[in-house]
Amino acid sequence: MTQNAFICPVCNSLCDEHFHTQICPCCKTSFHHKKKLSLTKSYVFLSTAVCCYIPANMLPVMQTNLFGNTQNNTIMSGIIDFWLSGSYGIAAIIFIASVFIPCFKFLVLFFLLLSTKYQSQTGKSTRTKLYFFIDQIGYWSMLDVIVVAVISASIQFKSLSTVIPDYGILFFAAMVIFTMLATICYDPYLIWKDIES
Amino acid sequence: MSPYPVNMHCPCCRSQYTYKHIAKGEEARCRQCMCVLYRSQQMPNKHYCLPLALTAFIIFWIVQTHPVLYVHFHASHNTATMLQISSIFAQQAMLPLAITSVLLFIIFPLLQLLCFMWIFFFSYFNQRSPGFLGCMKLINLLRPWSMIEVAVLGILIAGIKLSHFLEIAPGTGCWAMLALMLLLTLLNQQNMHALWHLPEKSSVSKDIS
Repeated sequence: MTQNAFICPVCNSLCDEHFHTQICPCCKTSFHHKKKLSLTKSYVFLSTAVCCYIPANMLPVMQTNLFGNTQNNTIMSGIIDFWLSGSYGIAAIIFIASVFIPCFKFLVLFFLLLSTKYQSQTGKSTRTKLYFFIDQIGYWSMLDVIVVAVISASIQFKSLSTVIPDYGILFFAAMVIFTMLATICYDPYLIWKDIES
Repeated sequence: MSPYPVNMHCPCCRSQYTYKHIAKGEEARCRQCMCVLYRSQQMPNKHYCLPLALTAFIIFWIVQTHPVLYVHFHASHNTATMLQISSIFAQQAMLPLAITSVLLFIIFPLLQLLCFMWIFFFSYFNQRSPGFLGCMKLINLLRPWSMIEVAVLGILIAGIKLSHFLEIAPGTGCWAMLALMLLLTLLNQQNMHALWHLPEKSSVSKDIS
């Protein structure tokens, strides 16, 4: 004789599954319809993020006015400046945070959504691990936003030199937030769903 | 606990497992998808967690009140605090970004810290705090959105970039932020689930009366 149970992800207590009501007796959280409209929400957030990523790269992220010399900096020009000035490590960090991670997340999420739609049977555990990986690294893309904010806040010498953040960074931050929302909305259970049915 | 074997399934891939007791500090993971199945019910050390949360709160206050960077340029100098950095976007039509960065770098870490302090204050007296479920859900919800470590790396990179043409000195806030990052990581590592087994505050007071 065995007893069926599940572990509540909120309070970690072992709950009986007697009446097929997946409600935790300890914290009263219901897990019956865990993530409603998971796929649709994920699609919407992902496509919004991709739309934001284009202006984020085309528009300047900050306008520097150093000693009367005005210059518009985009994300890529910032990375190239670091590379040419010899700071290869920092150029690599910014490249990974603001170009590699967002593109990698787009590709992985798109791949996950497509494979869920066509109910692919191969590489299920790899796909689940990939999902948890992009869930962990996603927020590091916000790095560029804080770099622009610190530089703009530090260089405020009235008439001499000023740095003003530009609209590119607004789209970039929106892109990061929408990708994070798309990742959170995606339910990794969907990868395994057909096993149950 | 039932004397019969308990069957349970992975919350992610629904593989079947039999519940087994695990040693303190360990966690059981699904063999197929590496999802956490359950953790051991080891209580966080109350003599360690409450002081940790209080220290983190004091350091948070230092981060907010002291400048993160000192910038010198010939005779003029400038300082930047965390609030100035986060609200720099407010000057143009980028107010949503200013609000977002204030939330991500100031409000969310603060809310997380307040929840930790509230929970650990009551757990120090072996009680479950009022509104425990709400606090636990809030901590889990805020975890991906509290970006202190990103801010630390961002300040470091911006400092290096600025040092090419300006004189830069890290302020008290910068060091405090580094400490806050470590303390928040330590707090996030605590096994909060075990605190569910503490008696509720109301039931304790009823017993006494």
